[in-house]
Amino acid sequence: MTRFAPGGPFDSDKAIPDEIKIKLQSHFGLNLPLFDQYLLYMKNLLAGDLGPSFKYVGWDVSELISLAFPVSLSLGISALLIALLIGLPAGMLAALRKNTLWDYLPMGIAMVGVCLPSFVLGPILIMVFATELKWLPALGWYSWTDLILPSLTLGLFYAAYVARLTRAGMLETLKQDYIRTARAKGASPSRVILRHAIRGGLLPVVTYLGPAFAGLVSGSFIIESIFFIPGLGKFFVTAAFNRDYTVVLGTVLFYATLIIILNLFVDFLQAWLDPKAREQQ
Amino acid sequence: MNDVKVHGLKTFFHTREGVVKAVNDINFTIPSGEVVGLVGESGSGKSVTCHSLLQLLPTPPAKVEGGEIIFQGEDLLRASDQKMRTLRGKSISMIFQDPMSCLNPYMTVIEQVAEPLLIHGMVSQDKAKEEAMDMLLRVGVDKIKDRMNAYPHEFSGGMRQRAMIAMALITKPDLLLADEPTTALDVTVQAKILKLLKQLCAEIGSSILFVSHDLGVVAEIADRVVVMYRGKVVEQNTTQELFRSPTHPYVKALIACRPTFEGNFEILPTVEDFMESQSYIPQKKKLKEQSNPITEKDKNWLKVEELSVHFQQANHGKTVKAVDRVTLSIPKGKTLGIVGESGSGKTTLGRAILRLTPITSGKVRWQDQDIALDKENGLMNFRKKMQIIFQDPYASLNPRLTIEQTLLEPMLVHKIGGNHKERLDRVVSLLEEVGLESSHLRRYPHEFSGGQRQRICVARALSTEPEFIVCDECVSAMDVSVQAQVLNLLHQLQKARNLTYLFISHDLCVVKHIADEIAVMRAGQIEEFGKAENICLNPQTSYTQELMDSIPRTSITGTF
Repeated sequence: MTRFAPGGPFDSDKAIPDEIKIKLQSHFGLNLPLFDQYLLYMKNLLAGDLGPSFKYVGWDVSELISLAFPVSLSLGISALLIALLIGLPAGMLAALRKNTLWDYLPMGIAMVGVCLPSFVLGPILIMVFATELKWLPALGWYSWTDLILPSLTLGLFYAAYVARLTRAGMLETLKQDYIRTARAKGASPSRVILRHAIRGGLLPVVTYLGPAFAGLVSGSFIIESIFFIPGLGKFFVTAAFNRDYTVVLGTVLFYATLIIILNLFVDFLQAWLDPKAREQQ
Repeated sequence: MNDVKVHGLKTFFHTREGVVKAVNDINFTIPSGEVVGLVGESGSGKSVTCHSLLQLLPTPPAKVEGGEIIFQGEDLLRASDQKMRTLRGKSISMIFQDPMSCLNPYMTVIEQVAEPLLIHGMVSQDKAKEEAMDMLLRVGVDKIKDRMNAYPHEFSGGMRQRAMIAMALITKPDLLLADEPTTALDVTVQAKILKLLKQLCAEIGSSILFVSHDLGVVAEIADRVVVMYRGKVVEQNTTQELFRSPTHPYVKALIACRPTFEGNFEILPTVEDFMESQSYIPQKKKLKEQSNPITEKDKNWLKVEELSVHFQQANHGKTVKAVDRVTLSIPKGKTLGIVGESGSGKTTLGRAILRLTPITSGKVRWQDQDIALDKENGLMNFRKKMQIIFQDPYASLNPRLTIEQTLLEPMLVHKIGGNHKERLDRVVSLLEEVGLESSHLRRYPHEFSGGQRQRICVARALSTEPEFIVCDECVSAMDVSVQAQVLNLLHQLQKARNLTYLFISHDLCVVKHIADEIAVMRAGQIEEFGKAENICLNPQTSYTQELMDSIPRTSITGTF
């Protein structure tokens, strides 16, 4: 699609002499017909080569990804941990104390969390914790303390979502007849929840985790821009602006692979949790 | 001494629409070691009573407003949560209706059967598993050694209910609460489960409170019967006495309106008949009058020849022969009953005849025209003449359409009636024909009771002026009193419109009541086919005989 956007990788404010431009284009094979370019790309891809970057001279796309991905990965994992550590207990609490303050309060906050865009939450967090309280650094990517604010910004949204899913899942499960059976056996409330309800209740969360985790680790352009983090998301968007075709294509392929792998992982996890799904496979 | 006494129990539901007095001041006793049947139709409060005993009702909205339940010298209604937990599953166990939804799908069956022992700390983990296996063997779960890690969905319905019984009895409770334990099962399985339940409880010495909507089943198992109606106990007596001389008109009606095997009413009496006049006596009328002889042309009005429907099972690639070379014929204006247990292929057969399921091979001749091979667009005319009424009137009506829209749609599809006014007039007259009013037109399905909904389904089926209607278990989900009304309606319509029915049901009594001829199906094939009377009085195959024997029968003949 980027091919149809006007402009090319070698257009810039300063005009480049046509000679050099043609030379550059032939160097990267851009003078060939589009279909031949595609064939060439596919051939290289099969050999594991994502091609060179047009903009970062001398860098391969795979090199660039391997540089940016770990940054996004660590950000994603810590955000996910935050999402689970906050979301799961909050959702459970809300489900078990349904229609009390302990339900309304976390769910109210979660509602705000889902609605609040990260470009609003991020600056607010920076203002409070960096500018005013001076507890944490505002921007950059130098030490582990730099991880805290961006992963909070990223994780809180997912925490809110996980909390809502957990609550809905648990409430649905607690309504089931087999929960009544468990109570009829004389099981204590904690046994009912831990032995009988939790598996069914958390299934929707597990289903959601796959795509969520893929989204988290593939980086968020907005968050990486706000906090000046050299992650994959920022890198990808910059490449699109620069018409850096190979980089855009390579990153998209990388995302796609990641999402497939993660969804597969979630399917296995589901099969482990749900004996019925196990049989369908 | 160990009798359970329910005294003045009141359980109300506080809903937004007001207070529902589900159980309103009832008294009864469960004598030690006896089986007490608690009978009533849906909404009569029998299940609520049962759940009140174990305090399993969700509170709110439910609230026990008064009374006492004395169990082993203690009032259960005033016992602490802690105390109740020690009783539940140990001294008082419960079996629920639907063994699929009531077993935890995420735990193995063995684990669940053993769980009560572990909860009450009665034995060690290994011992509990051992005892669970013993118990499962005793209730007749076969090949348990190979099924150590089986989950509920890998069990059949009957096996699940057996596991449920094992789970309830493993702690040798003093009282067993059985809430419609056999309602979801086939008759042959039901007969076995009832026998097993009675035998095991006698061995252990448990009393049973057996809740059911089915008087026949209760008569089979109970020593005493308590009949509930609208939250009240209307009559209680020993089973013998209750059936011999019921006093309350509702109880009389319940006994009379169920089509019995010996059935001899052409029109079934309904609860209204009894409630309206205290002295109502149903007319004895021979079910089958001598009807005019069928002409040769009408005899093979609808003919099914060597019809097969095979399904390819998705994951195993195995072929399931749902219907296997079935041949039968239905004369015009008559009713053919199809009886069979779940999985026998009766529903598939009905749908295949209507071409709602692809036919693998065979012929369906309708007035000498083979409709099995017609291309889809050639079916239009024939669809108009053939309609179906489904089992579940809740699921088969579109909840987003008003009754008017639901009834108009088939007419629009088949271009019946010249203009809207004409069609609307027809809708109104249809509604009146099935016993509803024109004021119902603008309402949505959820505003009607189950019986009314099935009437709407009947009206919808009639809207295209069909000649042939497939009734697929169309009264199975209903209370006996409503069932009687719908059966009467179908009978009346058949007479008025000369309709032909294919009546599919698992209930032999109902089929015998309505059908002229019966086909017994088993594993996709016709096991036996003949006149209704002959099949019932003189079954030829052992399977039909078994079906016949499994029917819970009120062996005590009533006063009428």
